[in-house]
Amino acid sequence: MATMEVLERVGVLVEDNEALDLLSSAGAMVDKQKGRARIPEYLVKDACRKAPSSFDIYTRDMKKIRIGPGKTTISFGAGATYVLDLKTGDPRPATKNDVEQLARLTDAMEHIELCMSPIIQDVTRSLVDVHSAEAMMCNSTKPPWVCPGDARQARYIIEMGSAVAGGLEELQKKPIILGLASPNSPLRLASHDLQIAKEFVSRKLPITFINCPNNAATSPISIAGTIVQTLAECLSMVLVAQLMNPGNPVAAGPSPPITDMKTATACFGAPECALVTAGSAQMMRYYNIPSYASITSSDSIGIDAQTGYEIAWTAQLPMMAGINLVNGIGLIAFCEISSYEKVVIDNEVFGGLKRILRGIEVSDASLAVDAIEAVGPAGHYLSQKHTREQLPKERWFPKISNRLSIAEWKKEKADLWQRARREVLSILETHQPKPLEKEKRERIREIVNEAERAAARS
Amino acid sequence: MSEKENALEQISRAVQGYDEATIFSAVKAGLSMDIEPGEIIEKGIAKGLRIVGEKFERGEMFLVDLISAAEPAQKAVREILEPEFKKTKGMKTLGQVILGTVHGDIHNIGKNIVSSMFFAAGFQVLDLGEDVPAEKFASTANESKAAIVGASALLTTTIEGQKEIVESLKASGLRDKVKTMFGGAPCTPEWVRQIGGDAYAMNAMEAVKVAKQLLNIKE
Repeated sequence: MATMEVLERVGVLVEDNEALDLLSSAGAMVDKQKGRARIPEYLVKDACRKAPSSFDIYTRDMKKIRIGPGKTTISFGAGATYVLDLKTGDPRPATKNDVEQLARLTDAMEHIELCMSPIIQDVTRSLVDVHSAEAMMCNSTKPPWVCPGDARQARYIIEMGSAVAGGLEELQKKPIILGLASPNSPLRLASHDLQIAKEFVSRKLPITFINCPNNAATSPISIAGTIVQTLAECLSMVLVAQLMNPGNPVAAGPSPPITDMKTATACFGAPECALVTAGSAQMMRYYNIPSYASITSSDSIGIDAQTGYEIAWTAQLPMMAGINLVNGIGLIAFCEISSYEKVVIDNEVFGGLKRILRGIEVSDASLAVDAIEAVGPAGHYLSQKHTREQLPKERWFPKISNRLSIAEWKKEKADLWQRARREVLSILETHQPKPLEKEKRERIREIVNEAERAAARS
Repeated sequence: MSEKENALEQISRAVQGYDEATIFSAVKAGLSMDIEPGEIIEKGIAKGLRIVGEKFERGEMFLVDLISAAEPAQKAVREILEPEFKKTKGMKTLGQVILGTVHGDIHNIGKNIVSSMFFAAGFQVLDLGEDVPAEKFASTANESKAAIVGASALLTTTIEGQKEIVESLKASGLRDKVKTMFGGAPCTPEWVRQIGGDAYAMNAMEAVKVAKQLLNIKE
């Protein structure tokens, strides 16, 4: 297999002595001076056996969220530095208040199960992820998927998670946070990223390994080559995690942009991205590791038809390939902008996609021969019991998609973007997530203040 | 065509052929004919890059072609021609640009693409690599005659390094002598304004345009 060949012949750079030692003791061929580890197939197979093929995380309410085969768990999208202002429609820097509002919005969304955060621009820069965690934990019961920028922030965030869960042990038993660390493409496990991974794995907390292979720049231009490299990077991180803590829950996969050949921009909405994620979904299933992919991020700057088709193909392909965990909700403009309206639009699309993925039921009831006979030639079905009974199973109920006639539409001429904005404003006005208990909120605030004091001192 | 013109044409063609060995031998052949290094660059290398660049603008060629031409050409300039310049007068370029990824950050693909694009556009590039302390940007700006210092950061936890560079330049008394440009995923025009930087660029193409604007170079 190409991936095994890459791991054995080319290997990975591992810029951390502890990880190198673990790999070496386990049987990898390690050149300690160069920091290069060549990994034999049996070690990878071993890691895939040890890593659980599915695991659970929890909402604040202790509702279980399965991450594994048979389901696509959907998360908000991280990393934007801007949001689309709800009043003007123009991009402006993301604020902590935006993260709070977006968490509240996520809390109300039927199909989104995890919170994630844009990059806050109006707080201490070295503590953006700590502030994000606070904003998410206090404004939604849905678990925050955290991507701490360094090990120090990871520690603060885990402390905050423990406070919400009622202690580290409780957090370990029923994790209400999900971690993230990344290999650096191509084939480089950097010290900084391994330190972050260690914070989660040493505490036996679930973590996702997500690479960002820039097709044609930091990964081969061929889709298959990008997948091979992705697998090599992700599986080597999975291996390190399993060596540190056998059985540590992990998910892995790509957030794969393509390098545009005219502008050098990293684009996330291309059909090639969808092929990489779909292929990775299938390959991760082969390795029995819960699979991850980034989806729905569109490359248009506002919300337009391009947004629509890019959401559709980047989401549908990996979902049909059985992807287990996805994020990207709300993202446009190469993941640089989070849009409140797009959150609602993404949620809408997922409703439709889930209907598509439910497929065609073939049963005596669904084949409807009796109903067809009852109605007979030239009859109609609208008053049939069969129609009423099958309705909830057979139909998706869109919330914001247009179903109005031309005449009705003419009264207001509101397009999808406007209808989505209306929905956002209505939700933000009325939806109250279950509040976090006062003592826990205060404890989290204490941790954030502690972090701020420590940052000011250094 | 004279022998000299022929040699220069060979260099231009070699650049358009992307093969490092061919480019190197064509450049060396030119030097052995006593062609001035400056002319080798202007009429050989830059000519080849211009042709690729024009085809790129017209949509006939792509980013891969630009970088495939610029990278080995840049290497030839660095390894064969720059030592020659130390013997004669300086190289005529649009200006010298210092580039690097900030301290604590190892992400370099964006910076590498920018480096190639600057070179292809006619700038002289001093690439300091990755994980570069702010003082190194300042000291290099001091030693060379850099017109622009550019830095990229990919992490929220390292982006402060861009602020440190501006501060380091101020401390060295260089703030008024060089223009600063910043980019990278967490970087925004607002951030650049906040730290007192001169310009922001979203991608490599924009970076070249912005650099020319900063130095008042006409397109």
